[in-house]
Amino acid sequence: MADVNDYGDLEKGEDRKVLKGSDQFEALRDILVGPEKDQIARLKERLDNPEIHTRELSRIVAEAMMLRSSSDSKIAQVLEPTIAQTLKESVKKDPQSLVEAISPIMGPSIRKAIVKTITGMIQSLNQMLEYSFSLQGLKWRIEALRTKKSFAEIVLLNTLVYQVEQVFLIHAPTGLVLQHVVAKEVESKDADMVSGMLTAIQDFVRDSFGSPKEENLDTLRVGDRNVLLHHGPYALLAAVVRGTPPPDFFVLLDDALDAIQLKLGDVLESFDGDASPFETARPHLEDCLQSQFEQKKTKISPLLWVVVGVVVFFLLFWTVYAIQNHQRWSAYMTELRNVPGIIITADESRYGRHYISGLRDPLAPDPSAILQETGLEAEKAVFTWKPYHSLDPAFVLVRARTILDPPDTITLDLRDGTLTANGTASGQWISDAKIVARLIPGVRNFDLDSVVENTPSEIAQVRRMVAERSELIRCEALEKKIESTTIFFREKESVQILSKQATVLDALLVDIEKLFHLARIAGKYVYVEIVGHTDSIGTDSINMLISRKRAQAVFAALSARSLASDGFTTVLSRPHMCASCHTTDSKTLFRNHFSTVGVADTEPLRDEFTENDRESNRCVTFRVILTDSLSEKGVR
Amino acid sequence: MIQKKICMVGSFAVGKTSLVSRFVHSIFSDKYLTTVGVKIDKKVVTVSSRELMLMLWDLAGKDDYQELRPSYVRGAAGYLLVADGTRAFTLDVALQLQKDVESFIGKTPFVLVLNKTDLIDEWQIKEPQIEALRARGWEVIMTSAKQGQSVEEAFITLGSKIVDG
Repeated sequence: MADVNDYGDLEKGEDRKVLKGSDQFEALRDILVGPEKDQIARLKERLDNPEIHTRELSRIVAEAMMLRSSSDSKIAQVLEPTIAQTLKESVKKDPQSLVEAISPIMGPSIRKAIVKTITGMIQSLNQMLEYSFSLQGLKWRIEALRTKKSFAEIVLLNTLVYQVEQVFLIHAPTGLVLQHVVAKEVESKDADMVSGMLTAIQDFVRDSFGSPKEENLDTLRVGDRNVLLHHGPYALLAAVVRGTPPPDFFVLLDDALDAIQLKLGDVLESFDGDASPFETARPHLEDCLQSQFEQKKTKISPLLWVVVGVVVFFLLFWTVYAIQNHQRWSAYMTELRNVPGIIITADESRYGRHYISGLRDPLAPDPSAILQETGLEAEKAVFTWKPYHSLDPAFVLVRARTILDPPDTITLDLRDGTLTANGTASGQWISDAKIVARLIPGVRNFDLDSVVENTPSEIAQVRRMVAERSELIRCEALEKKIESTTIFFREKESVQILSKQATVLDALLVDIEKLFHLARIAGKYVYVEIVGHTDSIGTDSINMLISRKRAQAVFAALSARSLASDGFTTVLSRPHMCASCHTTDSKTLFRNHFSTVGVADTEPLRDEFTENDRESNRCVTFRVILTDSLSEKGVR
Repeated sequence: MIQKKICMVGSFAVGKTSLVSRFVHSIFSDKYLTTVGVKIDKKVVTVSSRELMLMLWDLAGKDDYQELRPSYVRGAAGYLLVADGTRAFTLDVALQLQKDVESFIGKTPFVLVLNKTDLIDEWQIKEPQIEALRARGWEVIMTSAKQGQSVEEAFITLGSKIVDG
């Protein structure tokens, strides 16, 4: 300031000097401030001339901006509206130039976005197809209708399950890990080495398949795990994802990487191995540890189903068994109450057993036997019976028969307490019955009016008649049995009895012996006709001869057996059996009661269609004749 | 902890993998070397009282059929140049590799490791050659991966060169 004042004074003095001698002063001034005068003049010109000022500012403006940008983002903030406005103006003016400028970077980005979208669509389509034709798919279709959402949306909602297990922030040039986060309960290997290998694998793929340097590996897939790689200029974000993440997740990864690069761009660029500044990137990485789990279905264990099934089965079984048992028991009790001669006074169930007590006539059926017939367990029932005499007419009648012991010629009947006897009986029995009948419980009157007293000879005659009648019935049964016996001959013309027929002949002889015995009692005569048969093959004369010989062979066999049987000989020799025979010769006796006849094929046992039929017809049969006298035998 | 990417380069079968196998933390099998061509291990060394984590990129040995991949050495803070003392040509390969690496990533700290001192009697690389290299300012360390001799020293030396510049 002092200099300026000095100059001011100098100028004032100079004026005075002009008045006195301007040349001298001018010379002095040149001597004193000559060099500075030029500088001042130049400075004045620089200040006054904007052209020079701009030129000089242009030399330092770039460095100045760079310097300021390294300390804060003021310049970016200041320039942002201008640049935005400039871009707008530029697009308005000539859009083509901007398109040309950004097309090299936009092209790959758009391609990448399209590929990503198509991949997502294909995955969704796959899932849709997978679930469209299943039971689950049907359920989801119903859900879609109910909630008025698209089927695809429902499928996505139900199947989207994923978990981001790890996220790595990797320094792209060196492959060194800058930050690493792991989801809970996820096992992770050494992050430093894994990130190195991830980088190496990318390099390997790029080198091996000749991809350009700017193209990157985006996804690695191992089983249901995907490693999603998002690339920035200096950093790489790698997310290990199990399952299929939603499309939003890719955006989330991009945002995280952008945020990190914005915040730590300078540190990334100048990274020298110290990863500590990247601790601030950790929240961004943790934001990426997303997961979505399918709602857990409360699945019931198959074992529980089995246990429940078994329990239900046994409960059902037990219930059905208990109901059936109860019904059977009720039916049994009803039946027991209706049984004559049984009176139930108490019936109770305790601890699975039935206690029944009451009165029982000794003539009544056994309750235990009835119980067994129903299928109930006998040990489940405990009976306590007290004996009594039932006045049921049936019991009274049985008791009367037991006590009175009437002869066969007497029949007893009970009606309204009156016991009525019919038939013939001895005087002794009638007098005894009159006394005893009054003592029988349930018999109020005894009616003997219809009983005829018979003499001892009459009684004997009646007895004989009854005996004969019953023996005759038995005779007829034996007759049928003998007539159904057949002796077979195997060969066509054979007349030899087979050895295996011996037992048949033995049994036959026993039956014939019994028949003779019974016939004697019944007062009948017995004749046995032995009938020989043949099949229809051969001539009639030959067949007739063969049939006779077969009958004779059986006759001979039976005769031989009868001679060996003492019992049979005895039966034949009884006077009644051979009233007109006056011989004791066994053979003769036998011939009187047995005869033979051949019928060839005239009386076949079967119609002949097969060899079996013919074989059946090669036989001997028997015909039994019971007569009242020998003359009636009518044997052929 | 400061981390650094370190590459191990050298001819086929000079013992690069053996150098690291006994002295480093590893989770990957050697199969990676023959498939991907690189295996990454980790080694922590203390240099100037500071711990330094070396991420070792063990690169598949160079032979007639396999070229060094520039992408694998990109970003390396240093490298171990490994040669087999019993085979002279491996040193020639190492010298070539040094040039290659330098052309890829520029001047970068490295240590020349001459391995297999346990077979010193069979060495084809002679002392004058070694001295000549040292005269060029190269750090040369003779090791035996088999006996563990000077292996640690090699890593520490490289770490020091990286840290101290």
